[in-house]
Amino acid sequence: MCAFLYSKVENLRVHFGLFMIVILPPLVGAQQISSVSPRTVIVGEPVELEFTGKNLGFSGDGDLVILASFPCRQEIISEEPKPPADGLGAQPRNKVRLKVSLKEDVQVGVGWLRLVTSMGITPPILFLVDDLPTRKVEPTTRRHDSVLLDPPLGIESKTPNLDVHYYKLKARSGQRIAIEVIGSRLGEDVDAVLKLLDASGRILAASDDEPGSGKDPRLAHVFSKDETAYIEVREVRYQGGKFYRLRVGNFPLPMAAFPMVAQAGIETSFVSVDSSGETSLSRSTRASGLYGTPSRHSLGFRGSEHNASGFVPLRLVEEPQFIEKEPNNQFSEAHLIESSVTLNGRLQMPDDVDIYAFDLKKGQYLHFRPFCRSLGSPSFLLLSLQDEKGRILASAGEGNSVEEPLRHVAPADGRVFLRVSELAGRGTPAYYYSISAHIQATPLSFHWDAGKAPHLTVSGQPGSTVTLKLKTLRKSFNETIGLTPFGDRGDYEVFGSSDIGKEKGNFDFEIHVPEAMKPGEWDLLRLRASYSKEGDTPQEWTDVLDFTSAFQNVLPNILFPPVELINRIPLFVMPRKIEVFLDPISGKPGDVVEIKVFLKKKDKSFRFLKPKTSWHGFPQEWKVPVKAQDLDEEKGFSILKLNIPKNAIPGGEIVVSASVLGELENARYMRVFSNKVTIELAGK
Amino acid sequence: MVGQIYMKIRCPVLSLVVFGHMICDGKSHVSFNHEVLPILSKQGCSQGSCHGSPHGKGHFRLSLRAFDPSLDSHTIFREELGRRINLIEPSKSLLLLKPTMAIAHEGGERLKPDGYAYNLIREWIREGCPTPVEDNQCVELEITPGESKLLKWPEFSLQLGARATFSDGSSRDVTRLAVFTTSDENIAVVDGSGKVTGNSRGQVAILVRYLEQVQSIRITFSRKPEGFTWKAPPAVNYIDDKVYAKLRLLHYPPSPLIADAAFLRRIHLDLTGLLPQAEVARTFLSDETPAKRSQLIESLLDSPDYAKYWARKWGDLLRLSRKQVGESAVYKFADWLERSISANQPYDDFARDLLTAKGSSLLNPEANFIRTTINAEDAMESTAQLFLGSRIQCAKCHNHPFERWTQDNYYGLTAFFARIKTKKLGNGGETFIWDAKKGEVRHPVAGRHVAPWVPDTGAFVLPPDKDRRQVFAEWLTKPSNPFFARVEVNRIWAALMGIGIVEPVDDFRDTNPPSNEPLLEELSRDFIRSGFDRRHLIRTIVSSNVYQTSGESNEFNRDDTRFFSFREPRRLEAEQLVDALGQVTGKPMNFYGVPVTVKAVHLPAPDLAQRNRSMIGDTEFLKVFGQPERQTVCSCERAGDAGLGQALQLFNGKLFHGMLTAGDSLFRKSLLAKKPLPEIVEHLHLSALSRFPNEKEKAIALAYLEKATDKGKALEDLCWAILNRNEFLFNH
Repeated sequence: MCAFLYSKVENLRVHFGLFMIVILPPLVGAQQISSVSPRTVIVGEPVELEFTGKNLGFSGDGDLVILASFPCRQEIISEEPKPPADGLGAQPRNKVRLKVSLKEDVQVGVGWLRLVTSMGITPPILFLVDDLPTRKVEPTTRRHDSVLLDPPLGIESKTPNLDVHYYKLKARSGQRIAIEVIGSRLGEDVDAVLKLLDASGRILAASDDEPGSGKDPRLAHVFSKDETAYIEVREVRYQGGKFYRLRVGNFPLPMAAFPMVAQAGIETSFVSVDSSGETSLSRSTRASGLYGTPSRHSLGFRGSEHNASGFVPLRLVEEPQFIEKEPNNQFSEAHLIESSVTLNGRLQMPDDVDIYAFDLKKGQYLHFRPFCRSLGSPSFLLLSLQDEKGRILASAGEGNSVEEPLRHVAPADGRVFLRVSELAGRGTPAYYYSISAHIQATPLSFHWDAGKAPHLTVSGQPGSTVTLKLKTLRKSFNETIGLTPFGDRGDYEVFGSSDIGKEKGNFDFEIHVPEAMKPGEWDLLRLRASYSKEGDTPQEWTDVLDFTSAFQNVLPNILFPPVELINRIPLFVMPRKIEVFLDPISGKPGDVVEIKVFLKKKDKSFRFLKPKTSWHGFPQEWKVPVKAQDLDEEKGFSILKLNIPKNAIPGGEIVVSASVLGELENARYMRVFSNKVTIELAGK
Repeated sequence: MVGQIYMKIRCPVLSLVVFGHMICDGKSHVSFNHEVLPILSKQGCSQGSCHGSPHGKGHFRLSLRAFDPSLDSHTIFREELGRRINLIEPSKSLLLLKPTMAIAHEGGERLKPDGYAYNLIREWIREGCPTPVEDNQCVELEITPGESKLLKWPEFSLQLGARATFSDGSSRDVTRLAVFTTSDENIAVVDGSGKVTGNSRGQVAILVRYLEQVQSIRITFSRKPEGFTWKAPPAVNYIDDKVYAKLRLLHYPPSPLIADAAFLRRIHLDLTGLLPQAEVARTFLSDETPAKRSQLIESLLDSPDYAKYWARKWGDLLRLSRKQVGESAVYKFADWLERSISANQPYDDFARDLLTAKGSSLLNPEANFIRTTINAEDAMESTAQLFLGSRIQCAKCHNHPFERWTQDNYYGLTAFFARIKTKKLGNGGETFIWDAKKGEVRHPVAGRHVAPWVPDTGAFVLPPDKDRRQVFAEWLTKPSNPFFARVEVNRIWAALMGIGIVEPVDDFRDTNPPSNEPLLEELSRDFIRSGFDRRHLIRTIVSSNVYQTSGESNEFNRDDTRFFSFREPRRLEAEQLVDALGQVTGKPMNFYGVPVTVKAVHLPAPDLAQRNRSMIGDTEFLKVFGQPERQTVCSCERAGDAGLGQALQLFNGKLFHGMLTAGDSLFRKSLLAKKPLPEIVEHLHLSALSRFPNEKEKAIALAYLEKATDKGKALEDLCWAILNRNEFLFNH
């Protein structure tokens, strides 16, 4: 199977003010990773990872690449089923063991990983890059039977059903031990609770949800005497079978980094912020996204006294940073912001407010997107946009979302003020925030319903189309815009119109997979919107594709998915299984000629029902019927009769093509393009 | 001249009031507001069960306890075309004919013709039912005698008087207009004239109410029984001093101190909710260390079981249930409580955390307390009941009938919680809680905004964006707050002694005085001095002789129900009982949603499992024995009474039967292990009763077992008999 197939009936979600893109899954055997062990790669140390799943390429084809947020090298150690000795009749892999090596300078933290095989690209899974070695330790459910740990180390396990896990520690007086569970940050549906107990079972320290790590608990404890202590890990509801990684060592537990956002390619200094607001560790780095910006990174912190790193999320953007300075609690003290920036600040005391000013022209579209919880801060922001008289123009924060954006279209020229406060009026030096403030922001974004694309990828054979079903709902921008798909290899052609008219609610958007792409190649598909109207300033917005909700449908436990995964759709090029050929002809002006359209199947199991042919490239005055015609399957071809206009200029040529749209057995459609054919106009 | 002749002649046996009036200038002499309404209230006409109910009675509706004079004047004089009043012949007024039963009256006879109340109303009618706008408000009520009284037998009666002072500076005797009620009719009764007559030893509060003013007086009745001699062990700490002083005054000698076995069982149950294991009991009983009791107290206070059990007690009060807070938060909030108790978090800090919590209900589990409340009123009522020991709900619709809380007070307190907002984050039941910068409470009658108000301090003038909950919490937890420490001290005392110094524990009011005021005062002072250290308070109480007094009464203190001359036995709590049964039989009950090792007394919530018909036999046991559903903050939700259902459960209930007849029960395993029967019998007693069997018990048990052909069945019978003994079923 080699193309995109779509259901006849789409159950589209409606997103107010947004376009919705629906991509249907290919009929190829589903690429699926059911488990990976361990779930961690170690910086500077080769690790063997065992992937189990379905259709992880073909055994023996050797064609397997890790596509990840961190650069790595991989080598196949073993695979199942075993590759055929003669290289023939290879079976799809269901298990593959890889040796993965990372460089020393890879950031510790949570990243993501996909496997690219000869059969496609797997859905992403979140993965940990750690500098603590993974050790095999069997946890026990009885405290007194627990195994003595020798930190620093990481342990991977699954929570016991209706029970707790225990590990034993021997600590010296004055020794600091940091313990953290990593589970929900890896997208697992686990809400762990961590306790450090003394020998009699009393709680020495405990942790549940934490601002910097969400549902993943973590704690640090300095022992006041030599003693044996126990680590207790459980799922909060005692649910079993939930993956977790336990890190035990002496590492920092930063809540967030400040600034929480970095500008790509710019050397930036960061400090680690703990839950009390202390900024104990600092470092600087020049972050540049592997997959462009915006993207989500991890930033590790480690002091000289530590034997491992603690890490926090970091957002990488293209716009410059602005760091708030006090006092800015009143309009008269507001920071004037003149271009799109990322605002970084903190609410240092209860009821603290920060105020920013913007000079707007009528019709300018302002967009503020707060980042707090997703980057580890405990803040919940209340954003309020006010005019010079203090009247509230728009506000966000009281709705039922965690990081509620604020949008506003300036009704007139003038200055407006963004008032940033904490929703609950809380404030300490730990209450950091970051806000993407976009002046003349894109008024559009495209959400992808991944309920129909469970692998979060699209694939098609060279010469076919990838059809996206868009649903357009407009809020403040009512002009016609053009949409252009693009990737690392440049822009992609669109079959049909790429303009989205203001009157359109739903339409199909078909992206042509270039003939030049070879099976096995892949690209990261992005979307650019442009607006151009006489008298108005042309505008262009890249990365208008956003399928956070789609991502969360597929991986519901990842509250804040990596940004680069939610605006890039991997496009994988499949082997050809069906092709369309034209019988080339030539004719003179005034001739009646016939063109044969052949449908050629490379795989007999592939059934293309009720195919219809349509044509592209003919000059309008030739009056070639554009309406689809049935393709006679018995004959294996259909014929197009056409009259070459008498007034056609002899000696010239036109390049035309046909496409065949067919229904597959399961009532989905695929469009395959013919090779392009040049019609020569004979005569003089 | 406007005048009123009001002359009171008093002598020891006669109290005579001569009432008259004269009209010199045509103005009224009987005050509707100050006389007619109080007298209607005194006769019971305007009480809630009569015409004061929201819909009135017999189409005649008065405001509750004359709360709304303008409504009452309209109702009496104008409603129903004025048919209730006959200005020409006042005596023929329906208002007089009905309560004198001249015409049938469902409420019975309320007025005596020509009695004081009758004459007063008739006179008011005769004057034309004047209802002038009354600016002169009653501002103070004074009772004579002004202080608490101690009455010694045979002088068991006392005449009370009431005097009202008005806003114009005038004052008058209102004894005949005031309402008198007693807090305990078994101890003393009071008649309408204010005469108190004692019935038995004890202490009562007499409440005197006139218009919106309420006062009370405490009277102690002391009577020395024949043959009584005071005898008490030497005091260990101030608790003994205070309790013994009261007991001596009332002639209640304390019962003797308990033996080690009883102490071991009691202290384990009170501090951890669990029975001591048989081996623990054996070791403790054989230990001859003099300080072994205090060592045991320390080790139990330091144990994880203590933290879990006392966290569960707070779970009861904080409505901690899956239904109330959601599936994840129920565990998180329970964990938070356990951590708080384990770390011995100071009580003032604990209360502040609960009352001012903001943010995510998952990140800040303590915010679930506010989350469980429905609205500002509910938040205030719950807070008042938990931390002020006041059931203030009545004042929502009218001034509190038995307390000084007014409707203004109710809404003034509510104003602290008026700005609470919540939003659901849609992530595992997560809720975000915060306070808006605006939001006021509107008085339902006056229609105005009500400023935040607290007792003693009064109304607050706060900056508009001030965090009101913070202000309230600061006021509440101040050491000088007259309520805060006393309420928690009383709650802990009740948990350990079975009954509060104020009982019910969350119903502090003038008419429900503490049974031992100096004791409560000293405990509170000590609690505050210790930095609101609950572990210190518990240690102090359980170290006292009063706590370690026997559960058996003697001939002189048998009728003491309030003064702690003996420790009244109480039935094991539902969860304690289930755990105890499980321990003795070796077949502990398993619960949904927690590991098998989790005890009933440590359950995070009573509703972890959805109710399931197939599980009725198991869950019903706990319900039958009073496990609360945690729908309210009232400690009364946990039932401690006994009933037929409980008897049936213990007779042959599904759970109990299953434990006894299980093939792998502890005693059957012992039989299989060929342990000698005397050893099994001893173990059963140690496990169930924390003591060795006495010779008689041992002989009876062994005779029965040796005779039996099926030893397992016989042991079932023996176990059944032991587990049905009051000695097992009660914490004594």
